[in-house]
Amino acid sequence: MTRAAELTAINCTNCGAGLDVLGGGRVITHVCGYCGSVLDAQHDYKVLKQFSDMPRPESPFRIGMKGEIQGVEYTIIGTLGKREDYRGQTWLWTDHQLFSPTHGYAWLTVEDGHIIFTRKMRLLPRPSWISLQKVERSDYRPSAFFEGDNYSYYATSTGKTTFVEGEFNWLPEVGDQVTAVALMSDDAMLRYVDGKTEHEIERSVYLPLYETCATFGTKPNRHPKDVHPLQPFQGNSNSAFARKVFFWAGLAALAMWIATWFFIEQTVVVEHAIDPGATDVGYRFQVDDPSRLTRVQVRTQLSNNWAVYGVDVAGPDGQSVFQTAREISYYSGSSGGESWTEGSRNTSIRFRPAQAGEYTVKLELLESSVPNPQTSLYVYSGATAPIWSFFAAALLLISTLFVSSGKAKHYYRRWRNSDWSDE
Amino acid sequence: MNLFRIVILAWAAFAVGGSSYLSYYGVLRESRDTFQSVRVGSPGGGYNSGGRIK
Repeated sequence: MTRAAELTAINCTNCGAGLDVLGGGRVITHVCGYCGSVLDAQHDYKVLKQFSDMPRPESPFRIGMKGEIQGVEYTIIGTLGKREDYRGQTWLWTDHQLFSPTHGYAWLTVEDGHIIFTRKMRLLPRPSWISLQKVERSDYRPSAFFEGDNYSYYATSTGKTTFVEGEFNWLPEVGDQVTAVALMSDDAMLRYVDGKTEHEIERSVYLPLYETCATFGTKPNRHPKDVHPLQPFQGNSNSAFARKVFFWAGLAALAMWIATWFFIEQTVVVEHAIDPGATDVGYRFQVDDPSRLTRVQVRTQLSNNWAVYGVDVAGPDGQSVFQTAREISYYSGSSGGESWTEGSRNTSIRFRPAQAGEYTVKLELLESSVPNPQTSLYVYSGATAPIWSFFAAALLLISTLFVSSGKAKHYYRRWRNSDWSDE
Repeated sequence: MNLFRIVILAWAAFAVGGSSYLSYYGVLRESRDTFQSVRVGSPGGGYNSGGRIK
């Protein structure tokens, strides 16, 4: 027996209250919102049972509201209050059954100010079923594939019905418990629902709060305080712009660091096998750009020894630019099975010439723990300071990570309530 | 382009340009012992006064 198609309203056969009929021909139960009677929609609305003392759940939506979701107009025909208790925590949410004459039945869920849209799947994912037992036995986080998307296990939940009102295409019971295994992709959730009489697979997506409330002609009754697992990341375009700018600027600074470290400096003097005892020998080099640094480097082959060199640089006019002395010491060994080194075999002196022209550098061995250590002299013009570009590259790339961290934080918040543990 | 983007772009350009200038010209990387001749100007003890020579 089916209902008459033209039926648009009835009176509750228990209390006489007027009830709208909104849900199409597959509705089998109508629960009176006034007296809690469960009416059999397929058999003249005779009273099947009566629920009492049901706490009405929070929701901005009411039965009879119409709105458009994903381009389809739906009418809210029923309301279920749901509750889950687990390890001292309680979760409450509200499911509204939706009906569209062209697209059938669906669900609109309200939880902590978030709105989720759910439909039963006609095409099956792979695998077509994941049981709670399979999850518990699995060594790896279970996964599923559907229409090119990969879904990873999120959580198993058991929801209990605490409130029923309106029309349904099945027989809801207060106290009913349904267990569902949920898997999640970047923007959707698959739920393998183990019902009383059948297995069903549902797919849920997140709906924008204000737009959804507006299309149903209502306003949000509360605002989300936390990130919902299905909530997409909404980074603003300025953050994306800053991330790109910092990233490419960081790469540019990194390229400059490499260039200043390896390519820009020019070698103008190379003298090996210097006799540091010959104090009268000067090595000449040309400075073309006095605005840039010149670097004098003394290299040795010292090993577990030290030496002190005097360095004397004279300008084009023959006047001393500077005189200085540098100690070079280098020690190495091993202790406790680990080798160690201390000091360096080289020393560098950087100075900024006052004028362009021909300069002269003299090298003198002042003291040494070994006689006549092997010594080389290098002079570089256009010496650089790569450290500034390194600082800039580090700062810009760290800024890139900082700006990008919003997405990573959002991802963490989406998954933090997953009950999967690899241990 | 809004003000925020202009500031970000200017800051990144300043960071890259400024650091490149400092690196290229070696700003603030002169050896300190070239400002005053250690061998001439040292009041005594000179290069060996630190006692680091082993």
